[in-house]
Amino acid sequence: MKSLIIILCCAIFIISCKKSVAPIVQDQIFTAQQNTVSNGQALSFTLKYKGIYTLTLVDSIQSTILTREQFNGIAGLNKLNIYTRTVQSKYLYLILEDSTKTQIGKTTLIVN
Amino acid sequence: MKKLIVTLLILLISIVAHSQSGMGYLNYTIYNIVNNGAGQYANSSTDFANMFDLTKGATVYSSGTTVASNLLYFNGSFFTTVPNGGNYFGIRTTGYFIPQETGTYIFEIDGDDAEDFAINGTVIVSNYGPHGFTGYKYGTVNLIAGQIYTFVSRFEQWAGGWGMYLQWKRPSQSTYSIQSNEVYSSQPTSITPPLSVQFNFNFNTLITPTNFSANAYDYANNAYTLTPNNAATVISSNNIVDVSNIIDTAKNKAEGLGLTTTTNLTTLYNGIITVSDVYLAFQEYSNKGLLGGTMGTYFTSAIQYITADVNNDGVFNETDCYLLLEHLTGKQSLVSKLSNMLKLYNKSTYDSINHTNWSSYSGLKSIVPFTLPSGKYNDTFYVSTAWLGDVNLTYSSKQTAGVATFDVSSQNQIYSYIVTQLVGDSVYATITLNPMLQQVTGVQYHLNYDSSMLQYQRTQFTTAGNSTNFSTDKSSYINFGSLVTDGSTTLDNTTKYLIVFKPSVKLTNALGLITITPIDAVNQAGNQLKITIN
Repeated sequence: MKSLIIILCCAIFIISCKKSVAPIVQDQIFTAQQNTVSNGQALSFTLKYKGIYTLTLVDSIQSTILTREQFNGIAGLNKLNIYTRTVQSKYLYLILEDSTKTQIGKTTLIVN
Repeated sequence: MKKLIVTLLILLISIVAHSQSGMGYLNYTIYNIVNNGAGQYANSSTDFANMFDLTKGATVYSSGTTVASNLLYFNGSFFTTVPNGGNYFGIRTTGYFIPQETGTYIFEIDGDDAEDFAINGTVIVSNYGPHGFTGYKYGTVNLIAGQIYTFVSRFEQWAGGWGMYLQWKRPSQSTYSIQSNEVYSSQPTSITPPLSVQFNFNFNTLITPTNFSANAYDYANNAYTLTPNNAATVISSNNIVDVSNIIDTAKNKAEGLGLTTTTNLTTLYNGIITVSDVYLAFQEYSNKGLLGGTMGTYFTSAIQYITADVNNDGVFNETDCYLLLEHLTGKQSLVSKLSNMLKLYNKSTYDSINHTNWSSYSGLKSIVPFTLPSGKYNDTFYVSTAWLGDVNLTYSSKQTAGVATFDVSSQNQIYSYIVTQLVGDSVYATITLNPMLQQVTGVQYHLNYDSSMLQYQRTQFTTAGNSTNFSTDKSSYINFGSLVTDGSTTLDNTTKYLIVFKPSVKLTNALGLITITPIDAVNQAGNQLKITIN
């Protein structure tokens, strides 16, 4: 009986030490007010609906639009990359809009 | 110990006393003349000499060195004590005078009682005899900048009120003052004239003065050659360069100044010559009439003819317009070496150029002639600059008169929209124009792209009217736009540019691989417009 208890305790201990298989936590770019990004970095964000969306990069100092990309968003987690070699500014806004041009996300980016 | 402290104190005092000399200081000797051998009053230079002669009864009351103004400007009191409660004394002030300018100096003197002033032993101005302040007497003397002259003033007080004012003005000045940088209590061992040349660049953010260096030239046999001790001297951020060390030391002068640069001229010129420059040139030319014999109304400054005469032949004509257009559209570059592209002028010459004489000031102007020293010990020369092809003078010096004004006000604003998309295995950038209420005749943009990941493929133009459309791959950006050179039609809101790139790696999206920079726009009237990307 004693040895059975020991074996059970060991089993419980081993099981409790196993890494839990929790869902991978993604960086949600628009949940943070400010993010530091580097060239080629992946950005992730969640969309409620599938559809055409745009991401706009704005020079936050000069208040000028640098570029805008249109993409097909999926419902759920979306992953896109940001490239910074042609971006002259260090401080940017990243703005997410839906097809009706309604802003659904905005964050500050600091280019590393 | 006590001795040591006293010695140190004396040493300190002597150091301080010694430092109180040199430029701005003069030496003085106060004489007690109650028993002088010249009588009561100095009625001449000789009387002064006798009055202060220690062998003839005068005694030294005190002497020393102090700032010039203490010794040259006083009335009823003195910076230190005087003998006999302010009676029966004289002051002899000595030192050196080193003019800042060459030419006629005027000295003024007034006093109570007698006084005189001498340069190199020659009395320049005097007011001898017994009197109160009688008003200034004036004396002139021709002096050479940088030369060392002796400086002596003498003053005598017998009784009653007393004082002396001695001031001067340089050849270039209109008012009198004591100019402390021209007087010295002791003879300087060497003098290096600080000569400076100021460049009146009208630089904007594209042009950095510190990327330019000045070179000094001698002139002989109708040719300029670098001075033997020339070294390219970097212009400071405030557009000033000091050329004291690169003038010809044998001649003690330089006769010309030129520039070199570390700026990438190709990059620079893509910013200097834009659609509004080219449009203005075409409009001015067509506005002159078939024979070109009359002045157009588009150029408001004569310098614009010089900058628009891009082949430097002294004539502004169709050839220049098309050379400008070909540079804009990338068919032929106007970029060569700096000496061909940047014209230097003496500022007063530049300002005197007008619509009838401009052609004689065209051609290559890579060296601005001048002479140093110019008669002044410390001088500043103003140099105006004009960039070839800068027809609207955005980057060139403005003339004092006949200034071209191309200010972009908020009313002169138009909009453009950009969107990029990954379409199949290509990246599309679409740029559309919203001219608002403007009659737009020209637009120009740079589309910057990451050349490590994208290859430029083609540009598709959708433009109304008879515009010249251009798109040139500059390896890191595309210079593109449209220009209606004759202004007969305008670019409306159907204007669209589709620029296609092929990715060199597999992409899932292209955010940031392409960015846009609006460069320039112009309307039918030749006014520059501001493009806002929305």
